[in-house]
Amino acid sequence: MPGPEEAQWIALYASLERKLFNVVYRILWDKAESQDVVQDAFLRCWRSRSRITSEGLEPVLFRTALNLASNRRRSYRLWRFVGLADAPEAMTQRGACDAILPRSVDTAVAALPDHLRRVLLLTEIAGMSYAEVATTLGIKEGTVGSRRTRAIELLREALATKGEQNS
Amino acid sequence: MNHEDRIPFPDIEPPAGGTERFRMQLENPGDVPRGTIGRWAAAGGIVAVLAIAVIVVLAPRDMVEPEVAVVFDAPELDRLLGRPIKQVETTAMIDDEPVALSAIPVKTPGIRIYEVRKN
Repeated sequence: MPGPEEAQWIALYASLERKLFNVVYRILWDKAESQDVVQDAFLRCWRSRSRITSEGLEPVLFRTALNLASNRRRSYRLWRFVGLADAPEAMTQRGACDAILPRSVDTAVAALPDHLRRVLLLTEIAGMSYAEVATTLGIKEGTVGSRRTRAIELLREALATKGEQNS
Repeated sequence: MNHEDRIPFPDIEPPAGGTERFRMQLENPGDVPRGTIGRWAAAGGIVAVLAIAVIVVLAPRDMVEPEVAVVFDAPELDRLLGRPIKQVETTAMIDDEPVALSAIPVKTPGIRIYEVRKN
């Protein structure tokens, strides 16, 4: 039977899992991997809970999950490169298993530079305000706005190019 | 934020049982799964640090190679090895010529800023 503090964290997990999962999924493109990262982020924050204020918890959770996802993505690329490990197929062949969005949008999102993708995912999927994204990523609000605009421009360009190729 | 240019990302259902799995991991922290690579890297790192610490601390000074002794005595290691921190003169070279340095007072402990003047 979990204690009151554990119960609070379990409730928090239940309320934030979907948002975090949807953000991480657009980095790893694999459901099982994405859930692992969300779990890991929560466990790390749980272990460091004495150093995190309740207002600061959500930004820390998102930041931890984003960093873990980026690290995992990088390490799988590396291990695949040297042929020592199998990365989930979805990371290199987007759309192979969990395709939901039109393939071209997925590809465009996956091709965004990491710093632009993070901002886009937090505003569009996590529904965060510029101020919240700024707190989460440790950047200025103005930077959030410019990165989001740039990310959308790149997506539009990528989709327009794709459309021209298909027509 | 301009809501007209929002991208309609569909909401994806996470795999079932996430909350239950998190609850079990909170209750049994020893069973927390960790990445294989991270576990081996952490273990390797700990072993390496311990080995270096044992060599540095236990090796008699006269058995230490001269190059190692120089490194061991370097003031940069004072803080790491818990020795009293000695004042050292800070020097800098530009185009193989020594340049004058003057410390700029800062309030943050542990941070030193120098002004470089090339004659």
